[in-house]
Amino acid sequence: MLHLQEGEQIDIKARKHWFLLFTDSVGILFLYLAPFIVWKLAVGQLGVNLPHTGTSLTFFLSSTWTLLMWAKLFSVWTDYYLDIWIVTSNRVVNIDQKGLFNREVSTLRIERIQDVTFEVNGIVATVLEFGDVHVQTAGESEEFLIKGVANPERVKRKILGHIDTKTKENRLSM
Amino acid sequence: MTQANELGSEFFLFPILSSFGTDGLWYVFLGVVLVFLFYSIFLIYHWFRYGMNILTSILATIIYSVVSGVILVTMIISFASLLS
Repeated sequence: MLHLQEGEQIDIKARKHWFLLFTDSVGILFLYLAPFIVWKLAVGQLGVNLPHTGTSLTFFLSSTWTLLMWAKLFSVWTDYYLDIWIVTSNRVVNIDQKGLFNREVSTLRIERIQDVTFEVNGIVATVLEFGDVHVQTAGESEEFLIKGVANPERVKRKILGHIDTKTKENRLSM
Repeated sequence: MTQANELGSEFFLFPILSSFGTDGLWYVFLGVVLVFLFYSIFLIYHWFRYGMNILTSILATIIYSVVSGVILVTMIISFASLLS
């Protein structure tokens, strides 16, 4: 959970595009199916002496494999669900879940942002509107990368909007 | 330890499995179930501790638990039938 400062408001919560979750899930599906295909080929085409499907051994092995792959699928989903970028009126927060035991939360204050760019690479990304947003900080070569986010143009616009507001506030307070 | 020839003819086709015997298979089975249970507890903990939407976390927990339960039951039944 994000603890907001006084007067701070959440503008957008952005996640990776669903297509990236879909491609990762398809990868898990292929990994899941691979032993079954190899088994079928070994028994049917190559004539290897293995039990046919339907025996208690094959049920046991396949249900064990299914259970492990089911957990793996949800671990991929957990990465997707817990990876999030939050743009508030004061800062940009990047929450990066790396596996189950590694979590990184980085924060960038709006005042420190110098430039925001976005890039959309490829046909699928163009059609489905997702890409990377690069947030450049002032003074240093440090960069904040928001990868595979849905509608990167909107994210960029929102961040720039907050930079403009902050700049105006600072000028008025001088 | 019960030897592989008491486990049925299917095991002769898997040299690795047949070398385990009944006790070894029990350890494999319990190992898989325990790893899965601990992993699941960590997953669900993360959904509720760090998730931004409680409803999504609840829905994910229900789907995950129900399907896992069905797979676990299938696994237990086939394991019992394997040993019988």
